[in-house]
Amino acid sequence: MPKTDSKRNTIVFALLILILAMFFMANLCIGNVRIGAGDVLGILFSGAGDDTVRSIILSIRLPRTIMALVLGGALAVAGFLLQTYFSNPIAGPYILGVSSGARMMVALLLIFVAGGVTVKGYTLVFAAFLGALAATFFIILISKRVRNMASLLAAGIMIGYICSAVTDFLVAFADDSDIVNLHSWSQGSFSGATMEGAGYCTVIVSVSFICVMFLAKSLDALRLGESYARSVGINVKMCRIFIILLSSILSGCVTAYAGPVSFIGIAVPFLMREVLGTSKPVVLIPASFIAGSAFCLLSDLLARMIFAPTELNISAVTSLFGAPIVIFMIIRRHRGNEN
Amino acid sequence: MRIENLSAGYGKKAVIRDISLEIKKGEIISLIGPNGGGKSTLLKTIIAELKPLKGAVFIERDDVRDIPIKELSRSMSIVNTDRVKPEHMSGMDVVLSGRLPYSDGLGRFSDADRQAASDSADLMHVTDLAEKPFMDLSDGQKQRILIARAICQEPEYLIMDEPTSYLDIRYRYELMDVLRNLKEKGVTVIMSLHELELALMISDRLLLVDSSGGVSCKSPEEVMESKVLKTLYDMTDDMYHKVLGQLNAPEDHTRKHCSYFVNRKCEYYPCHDVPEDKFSCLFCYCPLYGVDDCGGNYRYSEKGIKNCKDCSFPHDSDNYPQVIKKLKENMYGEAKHR
Repeated sequence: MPKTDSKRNTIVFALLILILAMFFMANLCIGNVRIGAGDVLGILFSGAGDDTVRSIILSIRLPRTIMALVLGGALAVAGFLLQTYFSNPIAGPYILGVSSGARMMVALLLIFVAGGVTVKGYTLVFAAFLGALAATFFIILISKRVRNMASLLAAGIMIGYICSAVTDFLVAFADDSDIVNLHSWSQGSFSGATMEGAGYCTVIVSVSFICVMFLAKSLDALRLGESYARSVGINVKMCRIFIILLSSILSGCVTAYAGPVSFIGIAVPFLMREVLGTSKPVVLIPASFIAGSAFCLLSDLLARMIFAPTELNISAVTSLFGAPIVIFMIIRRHRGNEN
Repeated sequence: MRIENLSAGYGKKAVIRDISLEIKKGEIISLIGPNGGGKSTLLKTIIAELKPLKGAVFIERDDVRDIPIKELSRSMSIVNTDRVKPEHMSGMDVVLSGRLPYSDGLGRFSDADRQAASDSADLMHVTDLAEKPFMDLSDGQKQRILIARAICQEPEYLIMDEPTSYLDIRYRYELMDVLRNLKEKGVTVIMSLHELELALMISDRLLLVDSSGGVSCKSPEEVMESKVLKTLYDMTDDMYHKVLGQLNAPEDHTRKHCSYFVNRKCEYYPCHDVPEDKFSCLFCYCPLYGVDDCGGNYRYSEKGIKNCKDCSFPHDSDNYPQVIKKLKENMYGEAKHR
C-alpha cells in the first residue's frame, strides 16, 4: 500500500510541476506582444535580448506571473487550513467572507489613513491581515452556535455582504483619486503588479508556507476530531490559533495585492484530495500550493487573453471554473449522506 | 495510576463526586452504571480532556494535567464514542494515526510504525478493511479500526468509552481476548461497558457509577454477591431476577449455580473439587456443558448427566482462553476460525 501510494504521489507531483512550469512560461510568452519561449529564457537567464522586450518581460509580465503563482498557492493553502478548522470542505477565504473583510480594512486604510498617498508593502498586508482576522473571528463565533454546513456558509456569505457594503459606502465617500485606485483593485486583478510587490508576497507566503508545513502533523491528527488529536499529543488550542493566524495572513496577503479572488481556496484542495486519493496534509499542502499556483496562472492568462485587450477581473475566470467544481462537490456529498 | 479525591463534571456541576482509587499496572477496570451516570465524564477526566472540579488523577507522581501532552500520548490512548468522519482516509490510515506520537515532525511514518499498525490491525481482524475508505465501513468495522488505532499507539493505559458498542457477539469476545493479552503485557485497561456479563467476566475490579454521582469500587465477586446491581440500575425485583438469570448468578448464594467460577459461596467452589455424588456440571454451569467434544474426558452419570469430575480440560478460569476458543469453534465452525 505505501508503495503504490508513493508512486501515485510522485506521478501527480511531477505532473503538477510540469503543468506549473508550462503555465509559467505561457504567461510570460503570451500577451499583446508574443514573445518566443527561447527569447524569454534568454532574457531571464542571460540578460540578452531587445530592450523593449526585456522591459515587457521583466517589469510587466514577470512580476505579474510571480504574483499569480505565489498568491494562487497561498489561496489554496488558506482554503485548506480553513477547511480543516471548520471540518467543512466547502470553507474557503472567499466564501466565508474573509477576503471581503480583508478588502474592507484595506479600503479603510487607503481612504482614511493614507488619503491619496500610495500605500505599499507591509502596511497594506497588515491591514488586510487584520481584516481577514476579524472576519474569521466572526465566523468562528457563529460556527460555535451552528454546527450545520449550510448555515455556516450562509453566515460567511452574509459577512461578505456586510463587508462589501461597508466598502461600497467608503468608496462613495472617497476622493476621485482613491476610487480609481480602489476600483481596479477591489475587483480582483493581478494587473499592475510590481517586482517589489512580488518580492514582498514571495517572502510572506514562503514563510507562512513553511509554518503551515510544520502544522502538518497537527492537521493530520485533527482529521479524526479534537479528542483523538489530543490523545496523540497535539495541543489542539495552539494548533487552532495557528491555523487562524496563518490562513488570515495568507488570504490577507492575497487580498492586499490582488483583491478578492474567488473559489481557488475551495476548488483546488478538493481536486487535489480527489486526484491524490488522500487527505494527508503533508502531501496535500504542497500539492494544493502547486495546483493553486497553476490554476491561478491559467486563470490570469485567460483573464488577459479572452477579450484582449480588455482585461477581465480574475474572479470572473476563477468563478467560471471553480463554482461548477464546488456545485459538483456539494451534490456528491449530498448523495453520500443519503446512502 | 492513582485517582485522588476526584470530583468531575461540567461547569460547576459535579457529575462524579469524591472518588479515590489506586489502579495497579495491568489491571482491567470496568465502569458500569446507568446511562447519564457520568461514566464518560470520569473517563474524560482521567485522560485530562476535562479539568477536574476537585482532586486529581496521577500517573506515578505526576498530575495528568501537568504531564506534557506529547508525553501523555505515548503512555495513554483512547477510544471514545465520537463519530468521526474523516474524508479520504482508508482503514489503515485511521489505524496508522495512532502512531502519530512516534512519527516525525511532519507526521510521516517509519516502517516500524507501519509494522505496528498492521500488527494491531491483524489483532482486531481489520486487515482486509485496510484499503477501504473508512467512511464506507459499517459501524462495527469502524469501531474495530478505532480500537486497533488505540492499540498500535502502544499505551500503558488504554482508556475506552463503550468499546463494545456496534460489535457483534463474536467480536465482543475477541476483544475480551485481546484485552486479556494486553493485560498480560502490562497494559492497564480502563473502560466503560454496558454488557454486565462481559464486565464481570473480564474485570479485575468494577467501578459502579450511579446516577447521583457516587462511585464505588468492587470486585466481580462482590458485585454478584451483593444486591448492588439492583440499586445501581434502579431495577424492579422482576427485572433484577431476569438479569441475574442472564448472568447465571444465584440470588440465593447457597444454591449450586455459580457465576463464571467466581461465586465463592457456592458449595462446590472451587469447581470440581467436591465428592463425585455431589458434583454435576448441570448445576455448576460449565460453558461447554452442551458440547459433546468439549475437549475434556467426561462420562455420564446414572442420571444421564454429564459428569466432569477429573476432567482433563477443566473449564475453570485458568483455561478460560481455551474455553472461549472452543465455544467459538462450536459457534462458527472450526474452519472459519483461525
